[in-house]
Amino acid sequence: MPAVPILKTEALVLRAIEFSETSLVVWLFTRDHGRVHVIAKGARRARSPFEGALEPLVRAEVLFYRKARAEALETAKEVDPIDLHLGLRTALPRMVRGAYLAELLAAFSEPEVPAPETYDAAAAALALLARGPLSGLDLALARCELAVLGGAGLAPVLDRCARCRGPVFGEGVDRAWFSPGAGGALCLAHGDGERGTAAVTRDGLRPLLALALGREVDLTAAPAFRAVRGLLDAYVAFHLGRPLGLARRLEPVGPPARARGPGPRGGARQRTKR
Amino acid sequence: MYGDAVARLVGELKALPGVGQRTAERLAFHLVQAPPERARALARALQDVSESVRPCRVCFNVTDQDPCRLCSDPGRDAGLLCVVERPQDVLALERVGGFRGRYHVLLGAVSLLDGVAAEDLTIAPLVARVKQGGVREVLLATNPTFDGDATALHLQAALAPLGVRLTRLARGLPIGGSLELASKAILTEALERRQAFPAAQE
Ligand SMILES: [Zn+2]
Ligand SMILES: [Zn+2]
Repeated sequence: MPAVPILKTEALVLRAIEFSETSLVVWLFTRDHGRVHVIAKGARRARSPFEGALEPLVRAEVLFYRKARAEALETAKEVDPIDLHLGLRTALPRMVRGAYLAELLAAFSEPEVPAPETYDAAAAALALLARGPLSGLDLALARCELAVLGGAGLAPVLDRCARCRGPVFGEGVDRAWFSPGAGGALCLAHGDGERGTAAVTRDGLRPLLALALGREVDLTAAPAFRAVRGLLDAYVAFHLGRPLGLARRLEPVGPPARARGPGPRGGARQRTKR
Repeated sequence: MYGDAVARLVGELKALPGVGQRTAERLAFHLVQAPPERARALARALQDVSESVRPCRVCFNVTDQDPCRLCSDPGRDAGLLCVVERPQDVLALERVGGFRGRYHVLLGAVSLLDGVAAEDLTIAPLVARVKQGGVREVLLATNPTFDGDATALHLQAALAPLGVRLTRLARGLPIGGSLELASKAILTEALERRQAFPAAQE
């Protein structure tokens, strides 16, 4: 009988689901094999060999047995944490963005499709979300989101009309279209009839365009934050056929001097039981 | 193979956590062969539980009297509230015996990834309890998991404006353990949350 191959790769834990009394099914975004679902036997026991390593957003070196049949699950052998990202748990804005990233990676990764560049972008973003300044969280997240979309072959076209390749904004014209279905921005002449298309102004497109071009953008200012999030959320929702559950939980980190709020933000809007 | 009544019993037992077909059959035949009084006592206990046990209107722990014994005990410190995820957690802390405050059971944990929101828990009644006054300290005793920590952060957001002291259960190396055998997660926490020595006394 041939030996069961053991694979070794770096991975981010996306989520863990109770599988049986003693085991978990863990969704991993691996550097070398794309998304992998492993069963972690004994992970729910009091003295688990995986203790603490299977929590969401842990970055780890993973050894797993290659499954025998296509429909079977892989089996985790060892999970050795590289970075637990415990800093995510020190502030709600960090944690919400980390969880949003896990949701995004789960949605845009594919089994058996290696995505090392997306992986590296996600690992770098997580380190910033866990330990970087609060004022930089949304910049780190939006940059990573563009990298994830690019890795999935869905990078939005923003610097020219996605249809005619001409300028998005004509001379003296301040209006154009943003069309997730057409793949990004459309000039005034080409925005008709595309499902999900919405009007966008020059100022509305500028922050996301700057991000896509690798420039620094201050996303602590509410208008820039809303411009970027609005376009990204619409784009992601269109390509997934649904919005990500945590998109509604993303709000500007805001100036620290703001008056004390009434409690968890968002009130009834947070009710998102699936 | 066996009668309808026995098959039904096996089916019900199998629905319990940790019970498979073999165990369910073993338990069922044990009950069938035991003195009838045995099975009736079990049936009565199950009926009593389903009819009389409900959440305490103050702390949401499971109880057969409302408010529960812990909430009505004048010997317990009403100024110190320990917030836990589930009734089982109250049981675990009560077994230790060192805690003399009162409890609040959230009936779950916030899960960002599973879409369980703060509004799905008993946080609003907790905020109302603290607003009534008399609470000095709220001990956030949710699990040290991603969801438990998310829950603690939501509790902090809801309670900090009320000016009450917030504490969190300590985490770190297990007593009697060794550094060599500790997991990376536990060692990282123990290093990051190292404390003054000797520990400050309150
Ligand atoms: Zn055009
Ligand atoms: Zn009670």
